[in-house]
Amino acid sequence: MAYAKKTILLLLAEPSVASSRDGASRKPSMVTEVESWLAGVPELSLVANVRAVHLPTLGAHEQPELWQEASQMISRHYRSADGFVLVQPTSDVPYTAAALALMLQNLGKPVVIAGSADRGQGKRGRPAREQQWGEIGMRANLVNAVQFATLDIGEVAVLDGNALYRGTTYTPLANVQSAQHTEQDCLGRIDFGLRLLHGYKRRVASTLRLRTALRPHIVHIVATPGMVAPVIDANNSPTGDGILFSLTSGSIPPELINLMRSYMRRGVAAGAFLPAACTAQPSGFYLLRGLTQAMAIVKFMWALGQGRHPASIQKLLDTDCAGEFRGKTEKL
Amino acid sequence: MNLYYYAPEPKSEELTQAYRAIATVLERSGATVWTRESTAGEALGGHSRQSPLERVQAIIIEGTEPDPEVGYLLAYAIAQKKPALLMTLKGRMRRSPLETFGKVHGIPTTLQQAHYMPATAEKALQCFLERFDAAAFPQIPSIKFTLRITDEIAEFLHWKTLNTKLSKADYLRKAILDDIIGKDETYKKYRRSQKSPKVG
Repeated sequence: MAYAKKTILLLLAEPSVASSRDGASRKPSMVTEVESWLAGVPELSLVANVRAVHLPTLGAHEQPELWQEASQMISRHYRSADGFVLVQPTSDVPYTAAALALMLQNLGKPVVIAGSADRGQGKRGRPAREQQWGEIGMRANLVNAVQFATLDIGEVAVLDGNALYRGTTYTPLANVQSAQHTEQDCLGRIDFGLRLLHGYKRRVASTLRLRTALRPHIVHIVATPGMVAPVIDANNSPTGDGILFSLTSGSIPPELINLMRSYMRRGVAAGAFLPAACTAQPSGFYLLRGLTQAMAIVKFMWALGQGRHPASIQKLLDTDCAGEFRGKTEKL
Repeated sequence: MNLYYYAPEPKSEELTQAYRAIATVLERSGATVWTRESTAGEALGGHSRQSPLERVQAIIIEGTEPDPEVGYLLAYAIAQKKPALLMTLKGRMRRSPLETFGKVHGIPTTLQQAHYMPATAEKALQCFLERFDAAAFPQIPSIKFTLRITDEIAEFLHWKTLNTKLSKADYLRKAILDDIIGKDETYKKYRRSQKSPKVG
């Protein structure tokens, strides 16, 4: 019995695999060039019916706009595509994965995020052969990402190396400490062929709900032991949407609590992020816990964008909206 | 030599016989043959961020029956510039997955197609495997390896490759292949002892 190839929408965020000189690949700055770029990776047509769109060139500080644009693009094509692949610089992937998982509520199709060459990895001066060899890995990565997007997955996932990870709890392998990557986080592997493991959300017929509002101007400070509150305050005047302190210990120093409360009184949202479950209770500031750092930063932005009342914002921060707490997702 | 052989679940006795014929020929070829049932894992060597598919030298695909895995493996082989052989039973195949692809894009030289009968499977495979020499399928450096070097080494590499067409990485690869591996008799002896027919 013949099978029908699935339709996959490929979202290209600059710089991407398309910034190479391999074959017909060029910087796809225009719609017509996207088609030309796609012609340079013809092997994708063996896996799925692939359509490609280009997301505008954005710098690192414009990631929130990229998340919103990507979410809207996915929503626009949600009925016609069976899956989605987003290609962007590797360093941005954890944040994008977190953001898309939160913004695309009731997602029932796969959104696979694959990293490409990071910004700054210039190819100038590299011999053509080395460029070619470098391209091979990226092309194979793209084939794997598209193939994963045809499978029975219904969530945001990240392709890193030879494994597929849950987007809401993804931490780059280079940054993984101890047992941060658990069996729950790994949704699939590239062995001989692609294999889905257990614990992944399956495809479901669903109506996608977009929740893209966020407050993007957040200052993030890693509060190391010994950091003195007046020094922080002097260096960070209360502007922007908020300030988030990442703490490495399970408790919050009293002077930091006072500082956060003073920010809140001045109309600047202030929060503390503790990676592990802790007994601290929020009082006069926001508290995030049990998340990855990337998810904490993004969720803070997102929750502030969803509500106005501090109590409702804190409730969102405590609610498992997209599997970010590795547990049951609660309906918003 | 490590090969990966993929065949979907057979839907008829004819296909079962055909798949078995291919497996038998591959067993006799002297190559180590992996199948989708293999748990290659670390057995093929390489580091954990590599898939076993990256470590095989070629892929043999029985693609008579439509199967999504066939399309994926063909795409992967093309992307990786990895030699691959697509085998289809004569008279059974309605439409090759490469038919449209070949007309539009041209079929890469690393990809071969063979229409076979169980009795001719051996000839088709031999024809493909005989192409395995350094000229036909040059080894592609695909494993990323970070090496911190001293100023002295950096200066040497810069001096050695200046005004040449050779990059520093190419020079080092050549030096390792020719001067280290090429002259290591103990390793050569070990490699010869590994070449024994088995199916993984």
